[in-house]
Amino acid sequence: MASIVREMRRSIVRSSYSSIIYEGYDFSCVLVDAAGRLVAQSGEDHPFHIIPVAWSVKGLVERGIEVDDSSVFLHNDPYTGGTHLNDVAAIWPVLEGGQPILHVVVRSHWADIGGMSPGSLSGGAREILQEGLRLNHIRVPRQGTSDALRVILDNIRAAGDAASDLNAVFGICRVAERRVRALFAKYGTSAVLHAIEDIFTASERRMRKALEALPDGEWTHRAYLDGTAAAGSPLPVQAQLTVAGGRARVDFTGTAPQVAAPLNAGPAIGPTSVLTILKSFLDPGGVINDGTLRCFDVVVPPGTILSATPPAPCGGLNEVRFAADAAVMGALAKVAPDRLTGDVRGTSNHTYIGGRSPAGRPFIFYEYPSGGTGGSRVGDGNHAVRAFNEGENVSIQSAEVVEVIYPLRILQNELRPDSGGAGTRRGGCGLIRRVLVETDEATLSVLSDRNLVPPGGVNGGVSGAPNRYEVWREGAPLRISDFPGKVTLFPLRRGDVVVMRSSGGGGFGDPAARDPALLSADIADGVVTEAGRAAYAPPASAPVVIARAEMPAPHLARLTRDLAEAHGLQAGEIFELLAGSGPAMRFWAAELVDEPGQRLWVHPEAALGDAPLRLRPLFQHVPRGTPA
Amino acid sequence: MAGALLIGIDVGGTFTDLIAYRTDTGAVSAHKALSDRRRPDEGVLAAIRAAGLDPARIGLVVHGTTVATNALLERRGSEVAMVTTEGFRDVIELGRTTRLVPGTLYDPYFRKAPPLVPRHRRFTLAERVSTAGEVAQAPDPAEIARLAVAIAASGAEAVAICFLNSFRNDANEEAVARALGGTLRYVTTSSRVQREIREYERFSTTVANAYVMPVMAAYVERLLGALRGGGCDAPFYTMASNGGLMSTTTVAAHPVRTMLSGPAAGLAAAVRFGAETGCPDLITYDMGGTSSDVALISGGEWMLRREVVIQGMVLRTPQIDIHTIGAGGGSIAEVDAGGALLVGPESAGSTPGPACYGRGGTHATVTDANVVLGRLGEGQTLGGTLEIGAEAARRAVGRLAERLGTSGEAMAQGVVALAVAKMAAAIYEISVARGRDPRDYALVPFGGAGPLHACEVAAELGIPRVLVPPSPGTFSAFGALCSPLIKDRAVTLLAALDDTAAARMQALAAEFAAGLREEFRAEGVDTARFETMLQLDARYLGQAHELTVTLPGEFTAAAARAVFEGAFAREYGRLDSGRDVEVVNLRVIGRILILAPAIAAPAAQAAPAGRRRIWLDGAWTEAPVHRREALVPGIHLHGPAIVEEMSATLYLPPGWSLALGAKGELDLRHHDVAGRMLAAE
Repeated sequence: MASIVREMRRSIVRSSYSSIIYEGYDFSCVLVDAAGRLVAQSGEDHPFHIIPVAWSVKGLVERGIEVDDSSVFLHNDPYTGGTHLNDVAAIWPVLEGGQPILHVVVRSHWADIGGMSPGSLSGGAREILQEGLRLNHIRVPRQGTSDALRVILDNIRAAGDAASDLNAVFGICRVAERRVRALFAKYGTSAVLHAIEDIFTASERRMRKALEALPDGEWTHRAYLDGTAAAGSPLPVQAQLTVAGGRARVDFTGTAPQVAAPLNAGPAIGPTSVLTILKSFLDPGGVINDGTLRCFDVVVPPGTILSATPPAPCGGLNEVRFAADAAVMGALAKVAPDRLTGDVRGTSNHTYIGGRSPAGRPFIFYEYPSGGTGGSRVGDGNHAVRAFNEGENVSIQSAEVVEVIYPLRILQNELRPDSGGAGTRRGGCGLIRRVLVETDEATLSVLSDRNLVPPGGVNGGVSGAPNRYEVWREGAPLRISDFPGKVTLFPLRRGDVVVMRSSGGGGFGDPAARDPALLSADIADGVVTEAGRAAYAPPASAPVVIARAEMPAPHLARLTRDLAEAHGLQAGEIFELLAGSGPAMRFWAAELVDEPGQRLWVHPEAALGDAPLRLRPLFQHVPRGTPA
Repeated sequence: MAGALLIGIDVGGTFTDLIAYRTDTGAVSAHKALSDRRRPDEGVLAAIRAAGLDPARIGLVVHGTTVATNALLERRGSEVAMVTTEGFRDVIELGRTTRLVPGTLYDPYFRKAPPLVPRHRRFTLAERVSTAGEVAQAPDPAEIARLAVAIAASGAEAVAICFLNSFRNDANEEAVARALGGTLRYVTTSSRVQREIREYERFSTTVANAYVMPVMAAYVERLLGALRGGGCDAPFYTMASNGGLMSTTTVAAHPVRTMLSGPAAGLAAAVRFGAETGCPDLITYDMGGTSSDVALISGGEWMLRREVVIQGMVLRTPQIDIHTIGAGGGSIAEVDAGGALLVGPESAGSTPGPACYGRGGTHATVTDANVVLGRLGEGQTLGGTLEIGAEAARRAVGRLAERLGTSGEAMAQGVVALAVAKMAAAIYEISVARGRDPRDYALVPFGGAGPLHACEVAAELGIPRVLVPPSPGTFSAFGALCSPLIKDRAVTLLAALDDTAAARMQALAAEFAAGLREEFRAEGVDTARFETMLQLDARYLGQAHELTVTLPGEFTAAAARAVFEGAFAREYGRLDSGRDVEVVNLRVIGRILILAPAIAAPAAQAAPAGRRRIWLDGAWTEAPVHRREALVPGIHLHGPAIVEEMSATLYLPPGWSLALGAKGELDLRHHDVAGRMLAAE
């Protein structure tokens, strides 16, 4: 089964027309059973596609839609298990005696699915209608065209490539169906179906064993999205992790209500986070199928950014998912701190430059630069590479190919020094990419988060630098949006330079305990600059933290003015408290009080289990006065 | 060359194999010596000594080497500096921003292997070539001079010069190479190593080339020095990853092209073997201790691919398209936490090795499972040295069986079945998944463990015929003697396939062919048998990945399109007829066949056949055991039977028959030709 889906993957990559597929590998090939249960995936599929794919099939089954062997069903609706509208699942039922016995599903990211901006994703969407077409199990023929297919292709950009890719996807589903049928013919239908049940049971047993290794108990952590100008800032995602008797329950109650900005996700995303994090840290080697999922109970309250209802836009579902990942990781860090790593990029960094070349040819350039990964007990994080929860997508294109295809020139593609979070084990650095625009007809759209709240460290490790976007014109940066990381259709000119900086990974352990030889090597390599060395110095003093129930929210803190001044912190700014064990805790300086004593007050729910070693302001990477 | 000896050598991890071919009598002899991992040249010389050969009578030495591969895998290469375009210092480190290491998704502790050149030895220069190939900015000579000092101070032995768009115009790279060549012996440039678009792949390959250059040069110098000192002045060639031979000049300049030197020799042997036995369509199956390689040969030609990934690094050089899986005779069988049986990728290697080797191994391996089933016998020696201990194998497999509550024999059957399924899946991916029906091919097993599983692998795929070559354990060394000299030259075109492009391609091909012939001549090679092959990497306009097809010497745009679409339809089962075809790279391959020995059966020796108990379908059965040397023409065996020889053991299951071919090959036929895996297709 797994080899069928691996073969599907390979064929799709090699024959695709969309760079997001052939370079980005942003698609998944999955087999799902008649009841909508996940049977097999290739092992290379993007984690965030896998559970949603099974939901998409479950939806088809539950709707009672009549299937036949001449139809495929397209699904991308976030509210019924999809991700964002660009990710379209093609569900190809394999029938025996008129009944589906398995479903072959390919979920692939379309370069465009309609909506208000080229590429469909942008930080400016207020409702889902601006993000493109919603497809709820739309029947299209396996061969030829239909009214529904014409409606779809008439309402998206780059329709020619989409049609070719869809044709390729169908061709691959056809091959996969043949292989599935060969398997059933060889062993007999009921024997294969029984074997699938056995596989589920074995996977469940394996995951349960991994969970049994944890002590029973309950741990809660909150992670934050930057938010947007329209939706406010920050947006919390709260995870309460309960482990008991080989089962894990994660309750996301306490997560922010849904917003009129593309920072929402559908109901399949919370379970996806739980699976990704618990599997990665507890049992990275196991396969994923319905059996793995049986060990988890996930509670996601509807109407929150983790289970949005129409018309909340869901373009940035990944931003929400990464915040959920961070929340579950933080909770896990409180029970198994040594196993954790510093956090990762935490956003997709969707970056679109679209328009027309000087010759009048339309183009969409799409990249989503990877960031550094977190430090861990085994060593430093990696520089700008796909993290464990991000699949294996190629996030940047060849500079030489870009120059041939687009009216753009890559001026720089390098590591971003000092971006890796300081720690005993340093987080990996992000990257910096400068793109010169060589046409007068182009716009920039960006959907990125963690531009304010960077990927956090663990066990005293410091945050990585946040993601950051700029456009430079005639030697000066421009104001490109009213909120960092959320840019919609900013007009570009020939000679403009778009600068993308991706985040560094969070550090692991106290930076002051880093081996001086490793620090010297980092400086020799220019990964840490002389100025960046300061992050490794021991703190002058540890702040006194007082838990107070009257604090209005868990993310708000009251500081004495002397403490704020000692750290150059102003009211409204964000800082973090780092303890020797557990995740970095983030706070906003809500109020400064004229009392001496270098103290601060926080909400009891946000109190640290361990005494803080260090207070660290987080605005340093976004200098005040610089346009975002 | 009457009376001359042609020597083929395969330097492996444990043994260095040598095949000597006498041109006057056609006699072939095989020899083995222990490899010396630190000084592989010593192993080669030891093998020549062990064979008792007179160096003065040697007429040709061809060898497959793992020197560069091991230097890279074990990170024992040289200190390399890199000079690259300003702004692109970290291309080799960022790569595709992917891990490129299978099985690392969901692994939060994954650590990327450090790049071959540390950041402090990656220098940048302000220079730029435009995408049209114009020098937009030439490097400043004063800057180059400053750089030369910095590189010398960095302690680098070798330098890789890697500039953006140099595949269009190498002027800037060459200018810097000239300047640095004065102070550094090992200088390589990206346009010399791999002149194709995509900077990461080109730079990464170039840096790897620089990394292994000094190691390879030292090895070749020592070996050649010793051979010449011993009175052997025969031409000396090295197998390249693409299955061709390289002169010592080329090897010294492009050692990165030897990464698949060993496996390439195996394919060359298979092509020769196919030609001799009249069977040009083969699937090769080389099963060793830790891994297995499978490859497809169609119409007497192996498939080539453009890159390989090693430790997360992309190396883009033309190479044989082999599919390697981490399962071999030494692969360990395990039961995971959920109770599922696994075979590999963990391997017991050769030390301690499988439990039955009696060298301290306690894990049950595929080899142990074969011992439990009686396919490998108590007291039998493997490779002429290792004696099998059946009791240790039974203990190891028994422990595993207990955990799953089954018998040792059933467990062993399960382990072998799983290993066989993995091999079959690997062959499926290189055949069916690429539009080829494996039933149209004969399976050629070699390596120590290949013949042991070949019939079952073949049955799984419905392959009706297995051809076991003579001396399967030294087949790769034989292959070194069967290969042509190969050179190639390529250019990136990126143009629509029309009549203008077709005409331009043919003009370029003629120019390249003349250049390649001249290169051979400059190396003192007789070019009378020079021939060329024209390859095109093409795609539908708008795609990013190309298919490689072979074109005839003369063609129209329409004919070239038809060749491309034929390949596309085979690969993907569909066409996009409405779209233009884009030609990406044109490659001319020049070949000269030196000499190929005939395949000959070893002289028959009288050896008694015995009998052994084997486990078959849930019960013990007596099966005859034959010595391969004792098989005589006209013999016809039916399975179950075992055939043993020095370098390998063959298991012939029920339903299969065996005949001895004219060239000494064992011709195995399956009588249930339907096959199971493909029955429904």
